[in-house]
Amino acid sequence: MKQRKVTAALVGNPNTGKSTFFNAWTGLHQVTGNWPGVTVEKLLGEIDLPGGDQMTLVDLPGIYSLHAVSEDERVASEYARGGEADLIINIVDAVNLERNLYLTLALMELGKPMVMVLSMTDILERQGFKVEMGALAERLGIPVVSANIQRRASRQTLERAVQEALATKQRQVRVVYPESLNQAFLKAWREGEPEVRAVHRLEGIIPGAEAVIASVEAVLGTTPDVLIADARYDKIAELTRGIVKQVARARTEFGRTLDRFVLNRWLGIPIFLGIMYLLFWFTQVVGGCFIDFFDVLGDTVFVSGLGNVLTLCHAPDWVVTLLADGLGTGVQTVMTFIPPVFFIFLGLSLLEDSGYMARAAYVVDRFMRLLGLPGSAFVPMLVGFGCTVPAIMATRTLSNRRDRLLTIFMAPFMSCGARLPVYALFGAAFFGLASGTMVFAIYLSGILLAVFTGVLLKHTLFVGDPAPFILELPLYHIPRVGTVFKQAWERLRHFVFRAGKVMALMVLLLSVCDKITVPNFYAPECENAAPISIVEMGGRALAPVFTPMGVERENWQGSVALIIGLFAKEQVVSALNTLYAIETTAGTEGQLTASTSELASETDSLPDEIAPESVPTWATTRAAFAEGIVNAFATIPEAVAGLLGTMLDPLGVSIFASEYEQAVKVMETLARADRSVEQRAAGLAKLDAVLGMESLHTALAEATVTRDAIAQQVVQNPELQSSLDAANATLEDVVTQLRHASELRRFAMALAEQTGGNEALVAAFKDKVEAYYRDSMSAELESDASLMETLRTKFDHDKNRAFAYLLFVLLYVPCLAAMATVVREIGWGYGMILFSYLTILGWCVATLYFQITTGHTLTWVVTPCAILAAVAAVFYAIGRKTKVKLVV
Amino acid sequence: MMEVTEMKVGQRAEITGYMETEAGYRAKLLALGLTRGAMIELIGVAPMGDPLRLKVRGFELSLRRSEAAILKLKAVEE
Repeated sequence: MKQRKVTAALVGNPNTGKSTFFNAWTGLHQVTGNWPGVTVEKLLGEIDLPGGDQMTLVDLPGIYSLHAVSEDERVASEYARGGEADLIINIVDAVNLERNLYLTLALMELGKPMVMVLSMTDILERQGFKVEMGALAERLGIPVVSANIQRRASRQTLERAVQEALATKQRQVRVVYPESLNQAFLKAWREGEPEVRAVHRLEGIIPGAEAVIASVEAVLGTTPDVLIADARYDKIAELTRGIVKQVARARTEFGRTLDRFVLNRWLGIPIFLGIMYLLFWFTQVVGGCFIDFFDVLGDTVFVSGLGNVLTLCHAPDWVVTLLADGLGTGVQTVMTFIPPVFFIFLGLSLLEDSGYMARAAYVVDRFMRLLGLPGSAFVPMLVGFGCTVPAIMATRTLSNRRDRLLTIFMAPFMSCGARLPVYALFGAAFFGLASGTMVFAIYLSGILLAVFTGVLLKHTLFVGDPAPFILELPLYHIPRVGTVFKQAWERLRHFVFRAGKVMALMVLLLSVCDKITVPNFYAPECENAAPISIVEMGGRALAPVFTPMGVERENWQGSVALIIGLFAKEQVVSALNTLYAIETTAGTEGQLTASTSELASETDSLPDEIAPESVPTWATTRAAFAEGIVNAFATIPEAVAGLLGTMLDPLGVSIFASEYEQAVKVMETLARADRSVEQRAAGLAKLDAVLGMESLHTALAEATVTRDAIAQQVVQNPELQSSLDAANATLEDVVTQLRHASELRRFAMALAEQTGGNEALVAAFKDKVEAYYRDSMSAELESDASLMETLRTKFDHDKNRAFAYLLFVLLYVPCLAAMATVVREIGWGYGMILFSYLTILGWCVATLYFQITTGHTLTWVVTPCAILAAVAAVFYAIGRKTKVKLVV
Repeated sequence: MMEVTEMKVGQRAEITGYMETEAGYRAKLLALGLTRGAMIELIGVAPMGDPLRLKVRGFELSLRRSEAAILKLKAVEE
């Protein structure tokens, strides 16, 4: 027997359990792709039919009818109507049988072989009803089978039904359209084509019968699509009469009761905010636990590991730089985004599958409409406060392209977590106690500028009517673990292999620029200065551009740091730190050293470079690799241990350690009279964990060994004296820390031994903790004191200058990772518009702020305003040109 | 004749037709079963007064006040 290849389209309403069914049937035999020309995902599955035929199942986006408005719907409708599919598999929700049959009738009119798959029968049964599948199949003239194909037998029934449908010519159910439309049908029909085309023209699914539609409306007082829909629903009433049988008494509906709270006028918003908070916490904090793991792993394998191996294979230096430092760093960067992206999708799939997502959109729709967005755009905005990358990915849940573009344009304004360290540094240096207010002002500025952007774009670039709001509130159900994970995994894969590619290339480019050095034109001529990297060179060349916003020429480091910030915005801090440090030392020793990348790697998690004099051997490489892997795994428990404490502070706004507060809590518990011996012991153990006793002891041992080793070398080589000093300082620090921790522990021991409550001891303990907290804070500040001082000098001791700089950090192009994601999602065209807009807006806002508060130069107040007006004009022009494309 | 905006929570009405509107929106409502003769019930209003929650043909649907105003309705006497 000859093997046939058939293609089947899986079509159904949204929320019918279509993906669950698709996954159950196709299992692991799936491939993803994109529909040509659009960003809608295409999912294909391969199925071996019992007769030996091979079937490709195409999962189409959910639709209610063949009339398409959004991009997804158009893809589904066109594919179903087109000639590519040999067979249509129509999934029908038994609970909403009538409504689902509307699509079924429209599909049957296409005249293709069809199989109906009935889902949600279990939910219907719980409500006390049952669908007579045999009778329904007979009336429709197509096989009707259950979507529950976990069992082998039911799967075989389905596959036999498919073969039956392919083999027999389909008997058509005829919808009787009103006679008054007959004339119109004839007029809309073109010779030689199927009759159904005339119906589609009158429905407005395909163009070409506008005049006929108008004349029908003039004569009958209503448009033909209303009449056609009436006729279909009449047919449905006839088809379903007696099909749904009551088999038991309905049980009370849990969902109704739940909705009474969830959609309540007063409770609705608090519940919504609570759930959003949990989603945010889950993504940022729980997901964040795994970032270090991927970071260290990526470094071990792709950066230092690959670098070592290449060096050992005697690869030329430029190859090592290109592959390990460039591409390797790119891959590493992509890897660090895996946890947040995966967790946001896990959270979103969970909310979607449970039925809450639609309700959330309902609750906040009114509020979001103020920004010109639908309710469902709330989630991406919220996620944006954590990280822009998953926020952009989360816009995939928006079905309308215009809404999606608008949301992507507004998401970068939500200040992400990576920008916080920059605010914190400037806060400490310039604002002192008012730091909190300053950070709040920055966040608020971001939100206000997002609203401004929304209003601007609505009237210029994305002109056109917003999509009308039609939202089905599906029944609640318990999320199916398999489906949720599968969906999150699919979306993650999409991210890694699509956005990841662009991201890795962008990082590669910037890393390589950071490694290639050129002679330093800026150094005074008399000194033979070390060469500088292209990035630093570019930063210094750009410095004049930033003068109007308060970054003076002598403060070129400020402008170089902004370019380094493209890697990730928190790198601005380490870049400033290092660049200022070089200048300070340069003052005393009279020479500039080190490229910016070396510096960045010193303070951040970027690759530890191989020191030029230590040549790697296979043995050291292997050892380093093993150690890296071990370290990577070690980061997970460390991160998870601190998880609970973050429940109250997912943004990490209280940057300062909370461990001592936790210690106080443990103490208070210990002091309570009703504790048993075991509970006291457990309390002590917890305290040890909080204080990190074990790691302190390890650190002490390590620091001692290092110090001793260096001390021995110093005897032969006095030049190493400075390293010895450093090692001594480290050792001292550890000892101090350990002493404090031990003291706190002694208090705890004393408490644990007491049987009754002891308030006095707890109070003494609290004092101790506070004193320690103050000490360690000031110690931390002291070490940064010189940096702070330089920072203050460079920014002329001017808060407004600092604030203007931070405004620019908030607004200018997002990091490379976010840029790559944007490009993948909306293409280079809109991507470039977004990046230019963000940078120009950032410059204008920062300049305006600085000039109004400090600069007082009229030219620089007028120029930004003029630039913004020009941007608006350009947007208006582009918007008018592309209008048609967006509305369709 | 009345509009959705005039309905009170718990009230039922029969759809009698559509006012002139953009075809895409109407097509979707029609597909969802908001045809002439179908009954709708207003079962709730979102926390900020909009959108509305309607029950049609056994399922729940949310529409915005201003947009759903294109439905021509006839109040049903209880």
